[in-house]
Amino acid sequence: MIPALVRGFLADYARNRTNLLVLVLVPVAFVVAAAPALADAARLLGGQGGAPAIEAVTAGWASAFISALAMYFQVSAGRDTDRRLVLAGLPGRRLAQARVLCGLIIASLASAAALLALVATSGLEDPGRVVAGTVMFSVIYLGIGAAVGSRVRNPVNGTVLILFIWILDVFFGPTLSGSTQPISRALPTHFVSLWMVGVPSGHEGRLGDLGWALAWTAASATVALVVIRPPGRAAARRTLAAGSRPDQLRAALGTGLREWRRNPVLWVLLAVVPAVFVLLADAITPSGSTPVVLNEGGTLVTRAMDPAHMHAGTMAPIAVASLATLAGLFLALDARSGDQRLTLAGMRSSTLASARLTVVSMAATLATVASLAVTALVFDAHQWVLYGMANLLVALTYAFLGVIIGPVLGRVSGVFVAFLLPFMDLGIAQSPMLRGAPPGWAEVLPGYGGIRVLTDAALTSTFDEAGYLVLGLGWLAVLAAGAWTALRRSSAVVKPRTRRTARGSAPTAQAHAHG
Amino acid sequence: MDALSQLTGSGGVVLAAHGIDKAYRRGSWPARRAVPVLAGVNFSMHKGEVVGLVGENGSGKSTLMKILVGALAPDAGEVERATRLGYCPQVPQLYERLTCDEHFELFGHAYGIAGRVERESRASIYAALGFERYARARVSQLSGGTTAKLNLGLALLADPEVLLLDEPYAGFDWDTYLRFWDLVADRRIAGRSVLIISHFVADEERFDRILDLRDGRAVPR
Repeated sequence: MIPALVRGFLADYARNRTNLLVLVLVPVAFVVAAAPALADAARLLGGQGGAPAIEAVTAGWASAFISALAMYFQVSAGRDTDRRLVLAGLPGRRLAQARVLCGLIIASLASAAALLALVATSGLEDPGRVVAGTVMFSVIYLGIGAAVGSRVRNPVNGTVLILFIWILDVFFGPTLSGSTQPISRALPTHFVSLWMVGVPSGHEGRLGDLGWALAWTAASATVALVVIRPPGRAAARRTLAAGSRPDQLRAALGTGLREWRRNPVLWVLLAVVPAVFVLLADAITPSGSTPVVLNEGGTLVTRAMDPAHMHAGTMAPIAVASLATLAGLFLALDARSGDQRLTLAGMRSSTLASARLTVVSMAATLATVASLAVTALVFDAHQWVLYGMANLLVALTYAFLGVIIGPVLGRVSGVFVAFLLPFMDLGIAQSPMLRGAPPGWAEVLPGYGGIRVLTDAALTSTFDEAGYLVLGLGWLAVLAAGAWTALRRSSAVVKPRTRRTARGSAPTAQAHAHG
Repeated sequence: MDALSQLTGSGGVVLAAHGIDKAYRRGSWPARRAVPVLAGVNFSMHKGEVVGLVGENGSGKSTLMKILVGALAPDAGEVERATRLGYCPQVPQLYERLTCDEHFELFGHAYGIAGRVERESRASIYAALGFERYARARVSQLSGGTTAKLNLGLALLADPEVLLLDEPYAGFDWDTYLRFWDLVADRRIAGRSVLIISHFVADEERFDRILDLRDGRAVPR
């Protein structure tokens, strides 16, 4: 069945003459005409691998571009007919396999055209590596084309998006730009391009550059298989009992998220606060030396650190916490009056409070991601995953604090305190920039545990602060309970005692005065 | 309690309040004092009745309404009410960034009514009050009159046995005002009860009874 499908898909592709022309012409033109100019550009920008290597990589870039476009059009144009095939009885898994196989054949043809052009112009210095690298380029972009095709229907938008990703990858990649920024490691062909030109990345870890390249390739092929697979017959949608707890939770969560994302102020703050806090801190801090007490394998040691190196990393949690506090504050205040009416209509106040707390947590997570993305431009943590988790811990802690202070302080004072509180706690009391270790009074503040973990993750290569992690999680649990209670109380109603009246009349409920 | 049970157990009483007291605390300690608003309010409403509750500004109308719906606890007294109430507060308590459709959907889940029923009810409310073209507009983009329609519509959504409306037609134009009374008349025919609070009543003939809230008590006009 799969060969028949592949033949059909290939015939569909080949019967468009432009496709065939593009399949051969673009790789050839790119390798023959653009490679020398790109090699010159790489020389100017400090690209790695030298001119012959750049010319070899152009084969990969060309085949990647063709693969992505071919896969994009296969997926986006065939989506409705693919769905129809599945509804007619074709297993979706088989259809996805056939589409990917067809894409691989097209990618191989594009790679072959590019490699032939390369052989004709400058030859292959290391044929095995160049051929394997070019194929990996193709497969990685095959997944990208499939992912874009499954989401973007408009062909102009789809091709522009693919072109944008490709340009970022090519021009900010290590072989052309010579960039050593940590963020450039996330580019799809970062590792494969370095492996192809035989330049070790220096941050390949145990997996090695080839291992990372193969991992990207395998992940991309898997993504293609997953996103292409059309949904089967629509199963009867599982409906939740109207008014049940899960039904109300889903409704409150859905509308809560919708309302929150429509708040333009939060989006502006998400963009501006991390940039101002983190990038400015990095830009204005002069080099020097400051003592910082660190836990290395259970032993406290005092290290001399360069403030210019670590300031951005220590500023990130302040940005994160300010944003998260604001998110909690706004949400608690905005929801207050509507929530009570909703509870009067029958929404469970505990369910509503849980939904609101979930939205706040998601807002805090987004604030963390936004701040970390900016921080990664100027700061390299020793343990990135742990550093990110510590930032998230601080974010959630302060988001729940925002929920609690919102109803007490109101909007104007609340906003002021939302910036002041994280600044006093994280920026003054806990900051390793100001003193080697926090003073005694700082230990009772909510950011103490989280910042100790964060400092450990940012400046040392092993995790040694389990005790402080427990302390931070303890604060988080207490504040989460406080925030939940505050939200529940703000929407609470006087609960009547339901009682059925005599002689079968309408069910009624009684409310009594307290006390 | 016994008197109240007797009251609601006979004669189709759907809402009753007995001996409701409420005072607000004003000022700071040690000059803190209690300002009584309601003093032993007794009130009942029967199936299919349209009752008006009027009173001067500050007489405690909205306070009584909040106690009847459960938004506020009384200092003393009891309230017995039908399981499903529709409440239209004086100040619309809505979500600024949600649309009219999204409000109806969310409140449908709160009332616990099925999706299909909610959509049908929503459509009839839009038609009855004439604001369907604002279905996808956010509350922050609505005029005062349309916000008042949405406010009322949310109270009507679940077809409650008792409708409690606090100054519902403030902000309505004449045409909507007449439509509102058509809705009230339809509900009365269907055996539903409506309590309307207003600081003045223009069309007394539209009510079955009108109560005056005076000196903290509800007295027949």
